[in-house]
This record gives sequence, C-alpha cells and structure tokens, in this order.
Amino acid sequence: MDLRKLFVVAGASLFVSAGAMAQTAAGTPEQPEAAPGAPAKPSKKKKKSGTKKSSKKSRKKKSSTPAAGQMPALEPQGAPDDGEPPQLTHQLVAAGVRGKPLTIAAHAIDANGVFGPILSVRKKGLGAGDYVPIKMVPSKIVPGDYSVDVSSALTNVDALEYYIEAWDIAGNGPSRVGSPDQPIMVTLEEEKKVAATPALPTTVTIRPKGAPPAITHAALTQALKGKSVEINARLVGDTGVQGAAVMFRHAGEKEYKALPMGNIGADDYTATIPAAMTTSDLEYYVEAFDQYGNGPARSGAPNVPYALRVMDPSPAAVAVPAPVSSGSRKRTLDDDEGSQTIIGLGIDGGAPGGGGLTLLVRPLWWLRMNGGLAYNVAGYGFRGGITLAPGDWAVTPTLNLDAGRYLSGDFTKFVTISDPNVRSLLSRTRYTFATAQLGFEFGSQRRFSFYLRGGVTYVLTSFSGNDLAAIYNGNSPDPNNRVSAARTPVSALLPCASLGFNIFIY
Amino acid sequence: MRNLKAISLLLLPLFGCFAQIENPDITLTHNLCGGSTNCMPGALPLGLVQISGQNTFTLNFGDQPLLQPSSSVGPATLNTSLIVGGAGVQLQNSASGDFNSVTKLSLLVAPTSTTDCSANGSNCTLVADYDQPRDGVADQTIVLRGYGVDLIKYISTTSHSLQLQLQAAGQGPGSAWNADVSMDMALKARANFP
Repeated sequence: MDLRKLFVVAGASLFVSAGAMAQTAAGTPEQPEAAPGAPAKPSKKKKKSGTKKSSKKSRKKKSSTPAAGQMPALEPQGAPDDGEPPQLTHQLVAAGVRGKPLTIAAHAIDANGVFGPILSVRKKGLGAGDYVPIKMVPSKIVPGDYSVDVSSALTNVDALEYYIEAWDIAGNGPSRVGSPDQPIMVTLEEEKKVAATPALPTTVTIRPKGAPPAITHAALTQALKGKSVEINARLVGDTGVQGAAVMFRHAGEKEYKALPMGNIGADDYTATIPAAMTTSDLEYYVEAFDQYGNGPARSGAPNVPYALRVMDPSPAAVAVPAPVSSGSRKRTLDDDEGSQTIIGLGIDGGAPGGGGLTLLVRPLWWLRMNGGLAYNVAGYGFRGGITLAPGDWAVTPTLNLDAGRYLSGDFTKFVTISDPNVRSLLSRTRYTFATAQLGFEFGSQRRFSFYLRGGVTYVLTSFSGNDLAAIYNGNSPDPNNRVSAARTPVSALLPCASLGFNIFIY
Repeated sequence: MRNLKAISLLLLPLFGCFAQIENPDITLTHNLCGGSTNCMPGALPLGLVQISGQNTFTLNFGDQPLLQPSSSVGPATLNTSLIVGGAGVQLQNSASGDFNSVTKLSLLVAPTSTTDCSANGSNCTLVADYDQPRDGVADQTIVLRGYGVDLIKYISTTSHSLQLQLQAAGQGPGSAWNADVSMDMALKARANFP
C-alpha cells in the first residue's frame, strides 16, 4: 500500500473516531448534520428562509437538550441568525515532532453556535482532494477552544499542510485559517532536534536559533608532576556561553572528568586541573554550549584529545610549561607562561666555523630550526640547520646539524706566506660546509639557554687550476717546465667546537 | 652501556678527521730543446740522441710540503701521491717530419742525472712507454702508456727534482726537430688528524 493510501485511510479512521468521541463526550446534538467529512455549506436559498431555519434550530435544541456545561463552545441557540460566520482564531503551528501526535488548537465563537471547526490536513505536496478532514473537539474548560491531536500515523512525514474551517449553526461561513489553496505548513522534525516537548497542547516549542560558541585555545603539551595545570580558552558566542568545561582524564583511562571553566573577564575562561591529578600524562579537551544548549563546541575531542605530558619537575627549570595563555593573549618576555615560545635569536661562535647570528623557529617542542648569517673573520656567508632537543631540562643534550656557505674569504690573514700566487689563491676562498655537533644547553629551552657543542665539520671547496699552476710555475727554477691543472677540489673533515646562546622572545 | 656505545659511535668521526686535495688532471710539460729551436738533428737514429744526452732532462718541483712522500704539518700527517697516468711526445713543428719511424719510446725515472738507463743495472724505473706494433704508427704525437708509477718517492728530498730520461729506438723525423714531453698525473694529498 502506498503512502498516499495509508494517509487517507488513517486520516478517515481518525476523523470517524474523533467525531464519535466528540459526540459521546460532549453530547453535541447541535451538529446533527455534521456527518464525517466536509460539512455541506448551507445554500443561499436556505439562508434566506430565516424563519424556517429558526424553527428547525429550535426543534433540534429541544430534541437534544444538551447541558450548558457540556457545550461550552456554543452560544445560546435561541439567538437570531446574525448572518455572520464564526470568529475563528488560531495560533499557527509551524513545527512538530515526526511520528508523534500533533496538537492543533483553535478558538471559535459565534452568537448562533459554532459548527466544527474542521481541521483539514494532508501530507505536504499532495493534491487538493487529498485533505483529510478531522473534527476538532471542544474544550471542557474554556468555552470556544477546540483542539485535536493529529495521529502519529499522519505525522510520520517530513511536513504537513492544514487549514481550519468553521461555520455557525445557521450555516454562515466558513471562517478559515489557511485555505485549501494556501494551507499552513508544519515541518516535522526528528524528535531529538526539538528542544522540548510542548508543555501545552496548544503550543509547540522550537529550539531558538543560535550557534555554539567559538573556542580559541592554545593546547598545552607539558606539565609538571604534582603541579596544578591552568587551562585557558577564549569562548565567543553570539548567544552566550554556558557549560564551558575542560574534560580530562589520565592517559589510558576511558572516562573523562569534567572541570567547569570560569569566566575571568571578557571572553576568557579558565579551569585548573588540581595538582593531585597531575600524577601521570593527561588527555583533555575543551567544550562549551551556548545559552540555548547549542553545541557542544569543542577544542580537541573525546576521541582526539590533547595530550598533556606530565614530567618530573626539574629544580633549575626556568619556565614551568604548564600554564599557557589563551590564543588571544600576547606573549611577552615577562610572561612566565613561556612554554609556547617559538621564535627567537641565536648567537654563537666557534672554530673553525666562525660565528653566526641566526633566527630560531621551533615548529615542534623538540625541534628547532635556525637560519642566518655566518662570519669567520675571513668573510661572510649564510647557514641554516636544525637542532634536536629531546627535553626541557636544566641541562639538555642536543644534536645540531648545520650547513652553509661562505661567499667570500680572505685567508691571507691567517698565514705568513709571501708567495703572491698563494696569497692570490687564499684571498678568494669560498667554501661550503656541513656540521654535526653534540652539545649541552643550560637553561630553559623556552626562554634563554647557553650551550657548548662539539663535533665535526665537513668543508668542501675548490681551487682554480690556473691558480695552482701559477703557484708551481712561479716556483719552478726551470722555465722549460710548465704545469697546467684542472680545477682542484679540496675537502676536509675537521673537529669543531662552538658555544653560544639562544633566547626565545615569542 | 648502550648510551656509551652511541656516544662512542658519534665521536668516531673525530678520529677520522682529514683534509684532502685531489686533482686527477695535472699535466707537466717539458720542452726538449728549451725553446722554439729545433735542436734535434733530423734523419738520425734516435740512439744517437741518447748518446748525446739530449734525452735526459730534470723536473724541479721546488720545496713544497705537498710533494713529499710523507711529512708532518702540525698535528697532521701529510701523505701525497703523484701518479703518472700516461705521457706524450708532441712534435713542435710539423715541417720537421713525423714520428712514424719511431718503433719504441720509453720514459724512465733515472736515479741520477748521469745514469744511462739503457745500460744494464741502471736501476731506472719505467714510467710510460710506446711500442709501435702494440700502439700503432705515430705521426706528430707519440702517446705513451702509463704504468701508474708514483713519482713522489723519486723526487729528491734535497734538490726537490726528478730525473727523467727518454729511451728510443727507430729513426727520428727527417729534419731537425723539437718536441714537448708531457706527463699526465693525478695528485692526491691527504692530511690525517691526528
């Protein structure tokens, strides 16, 4: 059976049962003609013969003798035909829960008594002949109030369309809310998308518009064992912030513990993981809702939390890595929360590599990159490299790899050779180098450190063949002997040592 | 213990430090007549040239540390080799004729400037040679095959010179002639630390 047939059958059965219930409960003999289905509109001819109609009404009233309390919606029936249709008001229903009964209510009054109202409902998109009429039931408490529950069998669709019609007993009408051509649409959503079940049968509560707050958070990577950890975040939302929390757990645990975040001014929120909890590595994420419950917005997630490495405290550690500023805070030299410093300067000197002024960038906590100028008294060059620092201790071992090239070099400063050909050769010495050094850095990896390194450097250069030939020919006592040579590579692997310091400023 | 091994491995290069210069293409050229004149008589058996002593010449390298078999330069020990890869005799003037009547030519290192390498027990060292049946008929240039001799150990440590001698068979060019004798050598000097 297709959905359309099911819809019609279910609607018809509902209408029949609703009508029967209304007559049984309220005893509404004033609607004898109101056979299930659309009520026939009284003809104009009939309407003109008001006297006959009045007597007919009178007869009906006598035969039914309904109690006033049982027909709260009806006006005194002895009133003359006012020629006006009922006043029909209705609070539009825009949304409902899919698969759940949908309550539609209306208010109708008329001096001659109200016939109906009739709710006509159909699945959105069906034709004009597919409306299912359902008689609305009068309220026992409030005169003029009518309502009806649209069966869940009819609401198991994406959207419904409806309109309401009412007549008075004299046949005036219909008064309408909506119309067959311009029905009112009800969007039916899954139950979980609705914030609250309607508290009153006449209203449907829809979740207000809004969005979860935006979270800006600089993830922490390290903390000290036995020290509390302050976690900061900036939470910005147009519809407020509610339920901000740090969800944390020890690495290996399944369940997270919630740590509410407090507002510390403007959009900044903070929470502190107690020192008692920093006994082993932690995992955490930050989440928050807006005041309407939208969310949660998250930085990190339950299945991909931030890893917070908990390390033994080092007495000489300068910067405690635990507290980290929020993403919006600018780090300064005076800021103790320097664990996220990533840019700095390095100055060093050594032999035989000379000295250098380099820019330092730390993309990972254990990896530092450098690049800058090199100077070795003989000339200038450039160099770059990486340093691996597998910890942040008072004394941290490092492995440093550098490479560079000296673009000019006058090495005659270092020799006492008088041979003009040799001096000419040494005055234009360019070379490329690569250095590998092990060392120890003293201080903070995040702020200031001094270091000593030792290792080897590989130097590669080449001498002009003509220059070398000139050296031989100039020294040969026999002018009858001549030498020519190709360009001559010279290489060396030499021990090297250096010292210097790094300072991270941002 | 594992760390100790790792550190030892990392420090290992310190015990293999070196400085090295290497040039595989050095050519040393000597003119037999010492100029542009054709001092060699034409149409004579080359044995006469040997007898007259015009086949012997001296290469002076000067006092350079690189050109000693082994020497100490500061904490480093310098080792040098100067390997002869081949040699050639280039006729200077084509008007003198050609070398197509030369059947054999050898370049030797002589212990002294007076040594006649053709004599028995002369203790000369063959550096390179040409053999017409083996190498083909020569025209303006005779190419001598090298034997990888390291010349460094033959350079006098006092005079810093090397005595070379040409031994030949056959007949020289038809007219008076002059030629450049050249040697292709590969230099490699390496200083090891410590």
